[in-house]
Amino acid sequence: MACRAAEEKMSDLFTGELHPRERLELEAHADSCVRCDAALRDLMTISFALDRAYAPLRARTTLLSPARIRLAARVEPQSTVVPWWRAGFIGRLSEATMALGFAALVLGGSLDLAVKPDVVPTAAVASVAAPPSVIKGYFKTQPPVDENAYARWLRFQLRVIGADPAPAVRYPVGGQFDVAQYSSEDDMLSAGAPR
Amino acid sequence: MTEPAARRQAHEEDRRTDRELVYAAREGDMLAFDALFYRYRDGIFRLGLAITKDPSAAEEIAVDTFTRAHRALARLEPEGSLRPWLYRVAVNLSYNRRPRKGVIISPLEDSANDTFQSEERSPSVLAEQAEVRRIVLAAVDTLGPKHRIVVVLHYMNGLNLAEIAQVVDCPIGTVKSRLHYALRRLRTHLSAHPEFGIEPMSFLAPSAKRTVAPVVEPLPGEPQ
Repeated sequence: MACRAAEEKMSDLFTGELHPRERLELEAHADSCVRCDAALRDLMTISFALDRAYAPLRARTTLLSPARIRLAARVEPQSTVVPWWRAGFIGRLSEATMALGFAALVLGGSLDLAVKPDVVPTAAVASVAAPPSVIKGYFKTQPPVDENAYARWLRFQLRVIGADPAPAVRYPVGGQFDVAQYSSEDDMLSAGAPR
Repeated sequence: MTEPAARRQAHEEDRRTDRELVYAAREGDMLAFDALFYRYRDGIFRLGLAITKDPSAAEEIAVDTFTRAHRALARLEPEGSLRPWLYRVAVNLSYNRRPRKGVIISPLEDSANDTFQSEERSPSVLAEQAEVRRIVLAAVDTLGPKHRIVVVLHYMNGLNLAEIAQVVDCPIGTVKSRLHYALRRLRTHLSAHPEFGIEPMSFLAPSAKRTVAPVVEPLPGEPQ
């Protein structure tokens, strides 16, 4: 075997695709040729170093899930091109309908303000007195529910009929009103705190 | 065993061929596509990692590869294994990928530590192995893309010449010559490092006069 043929066979030796008979011939040639023997030895060293260098990488794994592939495959845009007049006809129709509706709303509001009759109340209408409210009058004659307001109301009523000469009495917050007890300010001061 | 692990094991034990799985996936059987995914997921990830040296980029390459496979299910006709088609797509994606800016890439070093830590060896031996490994991988990086991919596919992915020829889409003889050229270049590069014990000599150059003539004439009957 010549050196050129041996050189061609060397790469096959490391890929494991050399016939046993050719391997024997290559080894026999390497025994007789110093340069081919050195080359073969160096290539074996390099091949072993490469195998060793990639060994950790061969142990690497990934935790990728097929769900990620499905997700990526679904979010890809469709490559088919649809003419614009056929793309989403219903959608475009609804868009046009909504645009027309909005325009009609705006224009209709403007027209309504424009043609609206300017109504100004006349003096005759304003002079007509409204009839007295029976409900409001009823509630005006009723005493208030609140105690302080009731005291003020009662004193007002007594003053109207001329039966209450007593001055106004101030009551503490939260106190209870008793007309008979607090008939005057002096009584309130002498009686101390209210019940 | 958790549910995803059990599902993965079920897919890995799927005895159907790639052709049957492709046809089943074409009919809408996503479990068949999952079986294909689990069958070639790690190999494609390692291939992308060996080329880009970036684990996140390798994962993206794997996702893109299987996404393209899913998109091409209707026209895939694998005669034997789907691996050459997938690896070819992964190689193209890896080389067309632009490296990310500002990323310090050293994924192969930490994986080396993980592997060698299990063995009970002294720190000096581990450091020496890591240094040798770094030198070898740096020498591989000096090769051109055509020669480097042949080395990666053979020594890392374990493909034979015929499978490499299918991946790179060229004759087997071309693959063989590329591998031989790559080994010759690596020998030239690694001869500068004495720890490999490689003699700095030209590799099998046709030079018949390089042999030094013997100083002393051999005795009669002595072998030349």
